[in-house]
Amino acid sequence: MLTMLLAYDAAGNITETLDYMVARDETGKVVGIIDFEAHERAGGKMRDIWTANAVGSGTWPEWIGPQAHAFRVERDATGRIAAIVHKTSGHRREREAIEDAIAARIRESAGQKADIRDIVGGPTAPLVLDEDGRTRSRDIRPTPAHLPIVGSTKASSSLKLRSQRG
Amino acid sequence: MTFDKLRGPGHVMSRGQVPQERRIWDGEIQPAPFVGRTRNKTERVIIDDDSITVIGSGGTVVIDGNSDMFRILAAGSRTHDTSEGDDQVQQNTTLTALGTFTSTPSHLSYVTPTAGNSGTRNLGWYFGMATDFCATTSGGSPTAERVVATIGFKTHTVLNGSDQVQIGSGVSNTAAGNVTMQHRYYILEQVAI
Repeated sequence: MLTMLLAYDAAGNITETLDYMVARDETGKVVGIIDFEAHERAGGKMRDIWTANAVGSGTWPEWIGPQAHAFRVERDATGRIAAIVHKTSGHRREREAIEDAIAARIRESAGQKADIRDIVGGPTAPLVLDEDGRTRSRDIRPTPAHLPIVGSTKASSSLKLRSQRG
Repeated sequence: MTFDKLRGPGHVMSRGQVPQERRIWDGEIQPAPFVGRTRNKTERVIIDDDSITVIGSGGTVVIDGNSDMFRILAAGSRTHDTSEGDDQVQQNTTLTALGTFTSTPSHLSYVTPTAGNSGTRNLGWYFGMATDFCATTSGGSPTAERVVATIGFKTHTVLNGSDQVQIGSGVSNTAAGNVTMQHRYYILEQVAI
């Protein structure tokens, strides 16, 4: 599963993040996105991916972008990041709880693709956290409905196709 | 109907695989990747051997490999702790897994001394400024009011000795105290579209 990377200093403070990175072939062509977690689970070194100004780095199953800098990491016996703890509020975000929520969502999807974006965010759409480090709603106040607009980007529901020899 | 369902012999959309046939999407077109952009019934999408043309009421867009765009190769964030007295102190992060480059990739960076979702976003550079009095000549009377930088923070990409890209920052801090600078970055590659 895709994850982000967190780098931390000697006190565990998160100093750097890497949301995603593409993979390139020998011609420079982009051929995919690097699976940080698969590399970590296989015993790979994070310095194969990046060398940060930090004492260590590891994967984290959510995307929280630069908001991560408000946290410090806690690692398990294997050195993997097990939790991140908000430096001022003490709020904990636990890897096990996140992975359990993902697994439950996959079970509920009954073989269909499971939508876990509300659990983990995404590389281009990180979760939004409040000042205590808790996930908060992504809802925003829209443009006032009484303002007239030109054009529309709302989808319609039908499709017609016609073809011709060109 | 989705874009995928329209694929098949003679209808493959990738370059070089569409033979003689030109397909024109017209009217209430809804190929899935374009959903949300094609409500206007006067718009058309033309898929040729080597291009896609979208004819909209506001203009025509051609995707044919003759224009350029930036693709994001990697995105991340850094902090750079600075102390008063720092003089051109640099920190770099090496993005090893991107491989090597023949020239330094560009980047888009935002920096701020204010953490949090509502902090300022300064494009690549940050100056903390103050108004001081200076002398206009060496040893002269400090009566000229001038804006001075108490801290200057700049971001960059550079290739290291192994031609790997580094994203980094440099700071000079003369009078700003201890400041943690926040740096959000995107590594860019110029590609054709």
